[in-house]
Formats: sequence, structure tokens, C-alpha cells
Amino acid sequence: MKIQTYKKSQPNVIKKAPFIRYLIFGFLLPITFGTALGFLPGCKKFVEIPPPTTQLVTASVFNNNATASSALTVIYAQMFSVASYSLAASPGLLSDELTSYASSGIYFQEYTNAMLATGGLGYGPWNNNAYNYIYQANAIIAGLQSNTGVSPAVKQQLTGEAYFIRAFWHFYLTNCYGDVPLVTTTNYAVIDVLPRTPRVQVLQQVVSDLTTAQGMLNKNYVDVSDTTTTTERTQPNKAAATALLARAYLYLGDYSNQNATDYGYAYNDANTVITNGSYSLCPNLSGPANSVFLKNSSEAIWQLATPLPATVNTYIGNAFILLAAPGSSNVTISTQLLNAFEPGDQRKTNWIGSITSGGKTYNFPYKYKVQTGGTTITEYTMVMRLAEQYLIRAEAQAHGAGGGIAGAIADLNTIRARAGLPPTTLTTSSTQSEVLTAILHERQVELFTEWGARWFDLNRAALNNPTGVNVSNVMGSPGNVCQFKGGTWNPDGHQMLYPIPINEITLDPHLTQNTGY
Amino acid sequence: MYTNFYLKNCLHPHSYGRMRKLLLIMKITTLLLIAVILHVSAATSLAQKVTLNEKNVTLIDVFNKIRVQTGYDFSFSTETLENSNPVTINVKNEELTDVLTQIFRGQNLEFSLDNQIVTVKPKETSLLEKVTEKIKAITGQVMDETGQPMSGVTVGEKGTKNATATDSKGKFSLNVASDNSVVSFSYIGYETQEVAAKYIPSGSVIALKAAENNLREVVVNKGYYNERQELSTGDVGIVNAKEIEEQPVSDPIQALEGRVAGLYITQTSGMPGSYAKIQINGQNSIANGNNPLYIIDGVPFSSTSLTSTTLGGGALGNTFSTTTQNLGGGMSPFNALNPDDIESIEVLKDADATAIYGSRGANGVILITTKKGKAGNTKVDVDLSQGDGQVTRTMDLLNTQQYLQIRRQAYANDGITTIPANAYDLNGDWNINNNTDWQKVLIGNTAHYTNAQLSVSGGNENTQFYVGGGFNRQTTVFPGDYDDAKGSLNFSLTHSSADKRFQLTLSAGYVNDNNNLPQTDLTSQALELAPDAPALYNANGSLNWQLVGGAQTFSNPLYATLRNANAVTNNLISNLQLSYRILPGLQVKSSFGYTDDRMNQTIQTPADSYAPPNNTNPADRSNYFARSENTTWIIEPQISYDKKIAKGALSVLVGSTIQQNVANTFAERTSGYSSDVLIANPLNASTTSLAGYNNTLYRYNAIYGRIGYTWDDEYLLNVTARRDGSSRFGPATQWGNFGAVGAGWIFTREQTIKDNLPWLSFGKLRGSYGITGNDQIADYQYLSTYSTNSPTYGGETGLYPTRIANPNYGWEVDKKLEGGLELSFLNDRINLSADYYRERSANQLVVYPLPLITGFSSVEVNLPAVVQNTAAEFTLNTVNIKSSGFKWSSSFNLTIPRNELVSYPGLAASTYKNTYVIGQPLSIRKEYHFLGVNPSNGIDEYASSTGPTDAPTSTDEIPVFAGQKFYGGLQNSFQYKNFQLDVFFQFVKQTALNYNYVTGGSDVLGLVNFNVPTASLNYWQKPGNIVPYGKASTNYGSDPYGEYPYSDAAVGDASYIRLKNLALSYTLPKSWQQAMHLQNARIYMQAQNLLTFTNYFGMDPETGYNGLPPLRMITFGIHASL
Repeated sequence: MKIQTYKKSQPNVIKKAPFIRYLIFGFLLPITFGTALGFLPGCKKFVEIPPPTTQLVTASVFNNNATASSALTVIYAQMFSVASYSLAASPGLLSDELTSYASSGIYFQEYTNAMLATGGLGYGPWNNNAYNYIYQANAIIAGLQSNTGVSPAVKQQLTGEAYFIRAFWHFYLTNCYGDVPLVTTTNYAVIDVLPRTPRVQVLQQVVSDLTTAQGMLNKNYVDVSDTTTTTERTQPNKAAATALLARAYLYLGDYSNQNATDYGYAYNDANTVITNGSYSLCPNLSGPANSVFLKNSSEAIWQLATPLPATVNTYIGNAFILLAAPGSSNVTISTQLLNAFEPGDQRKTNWIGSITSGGKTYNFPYKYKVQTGGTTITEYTMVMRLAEQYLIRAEAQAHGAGGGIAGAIADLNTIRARAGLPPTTLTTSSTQSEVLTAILHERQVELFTEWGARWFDLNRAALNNPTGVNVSNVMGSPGNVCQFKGGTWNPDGHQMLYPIPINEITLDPHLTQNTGY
Repeated sequence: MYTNFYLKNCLHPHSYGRMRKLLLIMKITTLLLIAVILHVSAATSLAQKVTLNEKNVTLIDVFNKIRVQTGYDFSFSTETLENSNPVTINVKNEELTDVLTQIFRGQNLEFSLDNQIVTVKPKETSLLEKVTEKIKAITGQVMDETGQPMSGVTVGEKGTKNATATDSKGKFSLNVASDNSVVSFSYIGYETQEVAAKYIPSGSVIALKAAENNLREVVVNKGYYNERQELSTGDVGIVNAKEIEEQPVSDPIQALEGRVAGLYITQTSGMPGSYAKIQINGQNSIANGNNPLYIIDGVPFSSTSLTSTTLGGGALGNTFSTTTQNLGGGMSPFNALNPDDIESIEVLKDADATAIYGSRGANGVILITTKKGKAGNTKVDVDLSQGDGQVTRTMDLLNTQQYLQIRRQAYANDGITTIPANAYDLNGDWNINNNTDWQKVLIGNTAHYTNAQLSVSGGNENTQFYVGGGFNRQTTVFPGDYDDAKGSLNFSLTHSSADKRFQLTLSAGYVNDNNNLPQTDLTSQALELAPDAPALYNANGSLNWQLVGGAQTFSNPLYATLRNANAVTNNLISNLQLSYRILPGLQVKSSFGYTDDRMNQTIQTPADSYAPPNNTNPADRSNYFARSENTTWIIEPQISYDKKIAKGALSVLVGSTIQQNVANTFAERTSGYSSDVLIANPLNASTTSLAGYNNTLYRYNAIYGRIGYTWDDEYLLNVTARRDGSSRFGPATQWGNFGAVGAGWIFTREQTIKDNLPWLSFGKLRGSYGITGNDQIADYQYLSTYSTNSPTYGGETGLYPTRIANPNYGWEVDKKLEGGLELSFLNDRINLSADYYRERSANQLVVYPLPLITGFSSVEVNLPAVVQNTAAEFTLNTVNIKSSGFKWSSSFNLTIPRNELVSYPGLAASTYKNTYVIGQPLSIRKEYHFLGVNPSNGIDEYASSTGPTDAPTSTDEIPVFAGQKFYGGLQNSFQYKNFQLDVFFQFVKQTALNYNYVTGGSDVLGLVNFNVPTASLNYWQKPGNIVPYGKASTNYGSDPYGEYPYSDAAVGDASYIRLKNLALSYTLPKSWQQAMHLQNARIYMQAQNLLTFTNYFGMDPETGYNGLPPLRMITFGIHASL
């Protein structure tokens, strides 16, 4: 191998190779020092990256009308699928409305009033996203407050609806579980140590939120632009807040020892809705006139539109209407409810369906007529309707507000007449207890399987009417509904409430279980 | 002429004739005294080095000492020594000739050396010699083996302080005392040469050999700086090109298995392209990534598989399962590298080595360096190899007779007397005389391996280049035409200015990989299919479904072979490095890197692969497309300064990193093709839907620094620090500080140690402590975000919150403490390194469960949970035999790890409550304790608080260890003349899920078309039977609750010793090579996974109970350099 020899190197390479000099002084050094020294202060910016293209960051959601509106209406779409049916079925099973065919599981335990604190099964709205809806509402309230991109009108409407949603779900939570955590923030570090707030305070917050909502919501129904008036009654308006406020005051009156002021407010608010002029009871329930649960019904105060594309009109209709003998996941109308209708009640004729299979007849809720089919939407999910306002006004009057007993009887008769029934036998000399019992009955046959009304009514009656028809007398033994269903009613009345989900107590040590569980 | 001065050639003795003459004289004078004592046996050829520390002793004493140490005899007359001077000498491990030269310096004597006899006689000095003695001038040039001049080589006169260094041309000149003066040439990373001055004629060229096997001289790449292993305070494992090249694997990560202490690798499958799981120093993170940081030539490489998580990757899967064993993690991203392009892989383990990588260093760092050119004549290297592979292991399964016997028993047990219509395997629908070994049919084929590599490298003093191209193809053991084929191109250019102040290195690698596999691994079907299952093909060549009444009676496993999963990967890695030395010791440098890794997948399902009547249904014809891209750029400028201060050497380094990574994925499902032949073109589909789209941005920025200081090559200090910011964290927690301190003491530099422990050639104590971080979490987690809800409400698409915001979480913090002891004995023939480390990973980022009242079920938070990894690691390298013809060296490593979940606040309420136990390793499984089969009824029983039960509950679960107790590797290398043999064993002591997990003990015993291992023959048949397996039943098993797979019976010993690699090569004789005009030519045989020793009950202890085992690959090849 040959040894390579090399010429003597040039003493200064830079002279010989200007490109290197260029490279070093023009490129390498500036980058090196520029980066190490000059650029560094700006580097904090470098790692603060823009939000992902595939998701929307909360701040940007609340910076324009369309996305802010989307963040709100999504709650209605979510409520459509899970909440609407579960709040129809679950309290219905607990009370005397529905019959279950399950021999184990949630339905069985609810039906036999044997809900367990342990065992991992989730009962009621707490386990069905209620607090997620409240989070979303709180996020909207906070998001709209701290961002300026949304136009004032839209901001007002959306904030109003968010307060409405927050009130709506706190209302249902407290009626199912009694004292519940009151959540008015999105900060999980604050929320996950919250204790339970007493029921009356929760209801007071509901009233407060609804009053706020009332002040912000459009008097007309608006579409998703949140400003344009529409015939669709699918976003809560001022009347919806007023209607829910009437209900909240009624309940608050009950739970604050028959507070006359609250009943007075309940009367006023219900009266406002009834006399609003935008709502009317359909004249009767037979044939084409039976339009109560159709979309944009004249009686509707708030309906959930069917999200599209759809496979069903309503989840409730889809789940309740039987096409064959019921299985363990189906429910039917209970004997007690069936027997509660007076002869000739059009509601029994038109709102209860039946199917005969194997020689047995099964009755099912038939307020919604469409079982399957999502191509043509004729029915929307009813959340609040006018008939209830008449009954709220009646009840408030029975408690001394407005026209008193006479007013109550008049309101009762309005509902009865629409159902094809003669006026009530009550007179102005009837006792408050008799009137309240009659209203409770009317609510039973008018509002059955609608958002747990019956179960809450029975529970309220325990306060209003301790010796009359109330939850302990209806459910309690001997020979009453609970025993009929195969369960045992405990005199301590703990079965009036759902158990607090056990996992929640584990994760939030400040939560306590309902006594008796 | 190119003169070699390797030491052996220096031992030219005086002429043999002269010695004979001397002996004759001594005989005549009868004053002969021969101090010949014993011949020393085997050690003679070994110990030519001498260690002496004497003061004013006689020559005879010194001779005696040397004789004992070397076995060399001395021949002299007592008269000769009468006038000798007393000797003072202090040498350590020096060559005999050098020692003798030193001893005889100043004596009026001279010596000669022949045939292990040192002959001493009076010096005959000429006048001329006396005159020239002090002024001997030597000149020459030092070059490396490739002929590249070496500058900065220390040229010194041995035993004096007289020394100089070579210039930029490698030239030197030095005046030495005499012809007999020994001149030494030393340079880091090269073997020191010592040559007597008289053998250095003017203008000689001295060639230095790169140090081989001298581990301490190896220069360790620690990423931002290099260090001599000897002076390193960190723990770094190295795997070099030779070890990688000797293994016929297409994924370089697989070549690391068992090679480095503390590095645990599990291959997930024997399929080409399959993922390998890697852990350095154990599992640190509970919920997030445990992948090391990979750096290829200074550019970070994503270890995330590009396989679409939406569509999966066919048989390679796309996800790991925590409940079962190694499901595929998609295609290994490292399959897009060419192992033959790799020069070395460094594994950085402790805080000292990894803290400079800051928030990315917690799981260790793997540095991959590609090959570069060397100066010298242009060199062409060709390597061709070819071979075959088969599965390493199969299972013993029932034959038809045994199988049907159990089936009949099962019907009898169930009280069924009429064989039902759906018992095809028994009722005559299938031919019960069939007895097929499905393992042979489905995974028993031969995989072919082809590897061809060509590289051209060379250059001159200033510019060197390397261009390498390769082709690698590996087929599978499945029936059908499946393979992984890889073409690669690697290129590097290095240029330095003539004064060496400016340097440029440009390197780029491009790989195209085409991976074509079936959609499912056929192994589990090969194990489960009944032995009397029908033939797979009809006479006309179509798939047989053994129709009865128009319906299929079995699922023909070959349906999978008609459903292809294809993945084409294109990977570009490029890097440019520029550096300039401003002043001596002061250098600025910048590195610019860019990688682009992309994968295109198609997953085709033709209708042909379905049984009638679906085999003509257009809706069943589908083709899924997925495209993934991962692009990274990085800029890393740095300034370094090196300065010698007194006996100390200081190195200071400051640098910065700016990095951006963009990842894109896109997936689409198409179906509804009117014919199977139209399936490749999505335009022919009637239905097309977007299946996935994602786009993420990751940015990273840091400043880092290092101060290294060594004092007198004895005391070592290394301080590293990094401040970095990562976009994976919220604005409040983006920036963090990391750092480490390492210190070392080379105690063999102490005179006392030298004096008292002469056999200890090197000893170093080192330790380090530092903090690193882990940011391997998903991007954007700190943002509260909204996603689209597809149904519209009032005509409006909804937006719902997908994540509750926690902008405050930060990285997991890993505190690493390590101590190490490095010892070398007997002149570096034995090198031992022992390490103990303790890593505590805290601030764990976990999904923390929230009460529903928050609106969400969980949030990503830092928990003060602590995971601790401790381990003792041992690495032993020995040169067992080293003679001129034969060399045997060994390398052994052993790791004894221990992992523990030290604390986890709120474990009982977390999602991990059924997975982990405080005080136990993360690798446990919570299982029921299997007590055995109840002899009276054949039902499985488990321990419970209330005694044996067949229905245990979760409170009865006990932690069962399923991990590694120890692991390691043993390499033996033999060199005999032209033969080289390397034998590498890998061993693991562990427990893991076994095949009982599949069978559930007797759960599947008696089911239609479900074969089981022969071990199952030991099953319960009648009351009184005491057997391991329960009652057969045509329903799901004897165990009413199916608990057996979740009992400790499904976890068993999975320890193994594997002859992982055997490589035999023969270098052609020089004469042949010359005749063929080759520089270096050898032929070789390489074998991977040749033998496996294990008691594992299941397919393979590494790839799991029913995955495709690693292949036993045997290849033959030729390597030649032109």
C-alpha cells in the first residue's frame, strides 16, 4: 500500500474557501448564538402551540354565535336519548304506574322498591348524566361571560337557557335524591369535595336560576340562531322558565312547611303561563284532536326536537309501545294506574294502548303513537305542557292562593272536561285535604309516565297530606302497592329517595348516604 | 513500504548463533551457572507483561521476579553481573522487552531474548555508539489502519517526560536518549504502540490499531458529548455493528435483545415487522409511555407505530392489551431502519447519562449512530446472505382419536345420548379419520430470508463519504405469499477544512419497506382447530367450508390468507452537522435534523374469503385505507470549551434544542365492490366513509449544559442540566428543570493500590444522582375541548365538552440514583462492572377518577404515586485465551430487577384498584388462587375467605407476580486462525400467562371444534379422580363461572434460555483474497433463535401463549471488500 502524501496546508483556510467563511459567519454562528441567546426569550412562545385542528377549545367555542349555540343545543340532543325515557320509566316503576318483567337488575330493584346502596347499579338521573348537563350549562354561563365574540342577543338567550338547564336538572336531582350537591362552577377541584345541600336550598337555587333565566329568555320561541322566532317549541323561552318556576315554587311551598308565599308565586307563575295566550289545551283527546304529544302541539311549553338523522320519533314512544309480549326490558301500565281511571276517561282510551299475546292483555303508555321510523317526524318529546300548569294553579289555590278552593275546582274541571269527564263532585265546602287528593288523582291520570310526576307527587303528599293519599299509604303495607309488586316498604320512608351512588361517596368523602340505605 | 510495528515484530532477538557461541564459552570456563528453574506451563504464552516495583535491588533479584511472572528463563554467568549496578524500577503491566530495556539502561550489559530465554552478556559499545547515544533523532508519521494521518498522537520516550505530539499530517520528530530508548505512540481509542528507537528509521510510518476489546478506551457517545469509557461517570451500554450484523433480523431493536444489562426487550411475534417492547431500567410510569427516547444521528425518532389505531394493522395488531399477553403493537417503527447501516447503538441508562435529555430522559435514551466513511482508498463492501426460518416451538396437541374420546365423554357427562346435528366433528359430517397437524399446515412452512448490502466508502484527509444500499426480504411461515421487503439507501459525507477548524457532516437514510401479511395471525387457529377438521381446499382450488345444508360447518382458517393487510413505509432521516473551532478548545456546533416517516396501509377483504352465501355479497367486500405521517425537524446549536488546567481537564458545553413534530393520520373504509377484482380501487366502492382523522403538533424547546472535570485522570466529575419546555403541558407547567451530578474515582491511580494490588489493572467507583422527566402523554390533554356530536338539533350540529380541563398537570418526575464499581484484573483480561440503581418515579400522571357531580368521570392529574425500580446489574467481559492462533473471549450480563408500587393515594377508588397493589410490582396480576379440581364432581375450586369455592369473588383475588426475576445474556467469541465463532445465549427467569389462559383449564374441554394440548388428557373422568383438569362438557366447561383463566393456574413459569445467535465465519486466506483481488473476504453462517430451553406451557415464553413464536432463522452469506 502506498503512503499518501499531502501538500502543506494553507495557513488560513478562510482565505482559501470563502464559502466556508460564508457558512460560518453567515449561517452557523448567527443560528447558534441567535438561538442560544437571542431567540430564547421568545421560546416560551414557541412551545405555546395553537389548539388542535380536530377539536374546539372551550374559549373558541364561546367566541361565536354558531358554536356557542351548538354547545347548548347539544344538551337537548343528549337529553332526548337517555334522560327522557329514564325519567319516564324509573320513577314510574318506583311508584304505582308501571310493571316490570325483569327478575333482576335495575328495573327489578326499582320495581320492588329494593334499591341497594352497594352493588354498583346506578339509579336515577345522577347516573344518567344530570350533572354532565349541569357542567355543560355552567360551562356555557362561564364561557359566555368571559368571551366577547357572541352577539349580545344570542348571549342573553343562551345564558338564559343555560340557567334554565341548570335549574331543570337540579330540580330533578333533588326530587330523586333529597339533599344533593349544588354545582354552580366547572372547576372540578371545587366540585369534587362538595357536600350535599339541603333540598330546600337546592329548590331556592332552582328558583333563583329560573328567575334569572326568566329575565333573559326571549318571550318567543327561537331557533338555533337564538334570535329568529320559530313555531318550533324546542328551545325554552320565557314562558318555559315561568312554567318551571311555577312548579318549583309549588314544590318549595311543600318542602318549606306549606309556605303560603311560595304557593302564591306558584299561582302567579302558572297563571301567567295559562293566560299567556300562546298556549291552549286541545279540545278533546279522540281522533285527530288527540294532538297533545304531536310536535309543536298547542299545549307544548317545551319539547325536545328529534335529533336528525333519526331512527325513532321519540325514545319514549319507541320504548313503551309494545309489539309483542313484554320481556325483561319492557314495562307496562300497572293495574293500579289502569284502575285509577274513571269510566269514560278519554285519557284511558287514547293514551293507553294494549296488546294481547298468549291470551294475556298488556297495557302500555300510548301518549306517543310512533314506535319506529325516523323518516317522518310527527312527534316530539314533551317536557312541559299546559295541562300541568292548570293542575299547578289548582294546587296552589287549594293551598289558599288565588281563587282558593273554588279556583282549584275550576282548574280541575278544565282538565276533566278535556278528558271527557263530568265536573268534579267537590264543592267550595270541600276540605283542603279532599281537594288536594282530587288534584293528586287528576295529576296521576293526566301526567302518568311524564318525567316522574307521579312519584314526586306521592312524596310531596307525605308532607301535605300525612293522613291521606301519600307515598307511605299508597306504597306501604299491608296489602299496598309495594307488597303487590313483591317488595317490602320500610316505615322509615327511606325508599322515597334513591340511594346516593356509592362510587360518588367513595370519590367525594364529603357526601353521605341517604339514611336507611 | 508500509512498515508495521506491532509489538510482536519488535521482539527480534539477537542471532541464534551468537547465543550458542556464548553457551559454549560458558561451558568451557566451567563457571557456568544456569538459573534455569522450572518451565512454566500454560501461562507462558500469556504473561509477557511485567509488573515490578523495586528499589536498589540486585539484578539477580529482579531476574527472579521476572522469571516468576513471565516464565522466561535467564541465562548469564555470575562474573558478568559482578559489576552491575543496583536496580530501581517501577513498572506496571509493561511488556517484558520494555522492562528489560529499562533495567539494562545504565548497566554495562546487554540482553537478548529468544525462545523464552533471556541471555545476558557484557555490552560491547563502540565509540560511535557512545557519541550518538544522546542524540538519537527519530522522525516519522503516524497513521491509522486506513492510512489516514493521525494528528495529536502522543509520541514519548518511555520512562522520561520527553514527549511530543504529531502535527496535522501525523508527522513527528523526537530526540531520544539512545537506540534502545523505547518510543511510545498513544492516542485515545487506539492501542498504544511501543517501539525501540532503533527500529524507527527516519520517515517511518507507524500504524496505530483501533483499540479492540479494550473497553476502557472505547469512546462513548453520550449524545451531546463524547467521553472515554474509562473516564465516564455514567452507565451506558454499547452494542456495536458487528453484534448487529451477525444477526439475521430486519429490525435492529431485535438485535439488542439480551445484550445490555438493564435493557429488557420482548418481541411480540415471529412475524416480520412485529413490534418489540423495550424497557430500560423497568417500568416507571403507571399510565403513560415507558418508551426510551430514540435518537438517530442526533435526530429524535418516534417510537410510536404508524399503524392506524382506527383500522389496526392486520396480524400485527395495533394495540397492547394489559389483560392478556403480547398482542401486537402494530408495525415496529424500527422496521423502517436498516440494521446494516448502523455503526453502534448506545443505551443511556442512569441519571448521569440521561439528565441532559431532561423531560424526555426518564425512560432512558437509545442513541443510534449510522456508518460513516473513513479516509483511505475507496472501499467497496458487499454482503450477501440467504437463509430459511421456521418456528422455534410448537405445542403437543391431541390427535383425532384422543380429541374425539374427550368429545364423546363430554356428551356422556352432559347426559346427551344422541349426537346433535351441530357436532360436525363427531356426527359424520367431517371425516373422523382425518388427523391433521394444523400447526404444520398453518404455521409450519419455511420462511425465506434474503439480505444484500452494498456500500462504497472512502475519501481523503479532508473529505470522507459513505454510500450504502441494501435489500432485505423475509417471508413468513404462513401458507401464502407474505413477506416484508425493505430497500434502503444510506449516505454520509464528512468534510473538514485543511486546518480542521471547520467540519461538516451530512447524513441521510432512506428506507422503503413493504410489509404484506394476512389480517390475522393463524397461530391460535393452528392450535384450536379440531384435528379431524376438513380439508382446506376443494378439488377446484376454492376454499372448502364443508357445507351441510348449504351452511358452513367450520371456519376455514385460510380465509385469513385471502384477506391481506399491506403496509408501505417510507422513512427519511437526515442530519446536517456544522462545527467550527474558534480558538483552541472553543468550538461552536450546530445540528439540523429532519425526519419524515410515512405509512400507507390497505386492508383488503374480498368476498371470496367468506363462506357461502356471503361469498358473493358486495357488502362484504371491503378495503380499508389508512395514511399516517410523522414529520420532525430539530435544530440544536451548541458551544463547547475544553481546557487543560494543571492536572485537570475541563469540558464545558452549552446548547439549545428547538424541535417540532407534526403527526397526521387519515383512515377511510370502503365497501360494496361488485367483484373481488375491483377491490383495489376505492372508486369502485359503493360505500365510502371516513374512519379517522387526526392531526397533532408537538413542540419542544430547551437549553442544556454540561460541565465535566477530571483531575489527573483519577477524580471525575460530571454535571449536566437541562431546562426544557414541552407543548404537551399547559402554559403554567410547560417549563421544567432537570439535572444530574455524576462522580467517579479511579482508585487504581493511587500509588498504594498500585503497590498492593498489582493484579488489579483498573478500578473505578462511580455514582450519580439526578432528575429526569417523562412527557410521553397524548398531546393537548391540558386543554378543555369540545367535539362534534353528529346528530343535529334544530338543524345544528352539536358540540359537547370532551375533556374537563386541568391545565396544571406537569411531567412525571423520575429520580435516579446509581452506584457502580468497575474493575479490571490481570492486565485487563477480566473486566467487571457492577451497578445498583434505584429509580423513583413520582408525580405520576394518571387518569384520576372524579365523582360524576363534576360532570366527568375522570381527569388527567399528577398524583403523588411513586413507582420504584431497583436493580443489581452485572457485566463481565473476559479474555479467556489469547494466543497467536486462538482467542476466546466472553461477555456476560445479568440484571436482577425489582419493581414496586410504593404509594398510590386513592388506589382503592381508582380505575387501577383491580390491577395494582401497593408494595407489589406493577407486573402483578390479581388472580384467584386455584386449589384444584374437586375429585367428587370434577369442578374447579378456588380459595376464598369462606373456604374452597367454585364461585370466588373479587375480594378473593391475590396478587400473582407475572414479570422478570432476572435476565441477561452470555456471549462467547472464539477466534481460531481464520475462523470466528460467536455464540450468544439469552436467558430470562420469569412468570407469565400460559396456555391455561386459553383453555380455561377444562372450560373448553369437550367443546365442538376446539382442540387442546395433550396435557389436558389428565382430566377428570369419574369421582375420585385427582387430576389437574376438570370435567369435560359440551357447554362452556366444568367451571360454572369461567374463573379459571383469571386464576393463578393461568400464570406459570415462562423462563427460558435461548441460543439467540450463533455466527460462524471463515475469512479466506490472504493468498486467495489476493488472487481474487479482494481485501477482506469471508463466508459465514448465522443462526437466530437456534435453540430454546424452557418449561413454558404455551407457544413461546417470549411471544406468549398463542402468538407466532420467533423464527429459527439460519442463513449463509458472504462478505467481501474490494
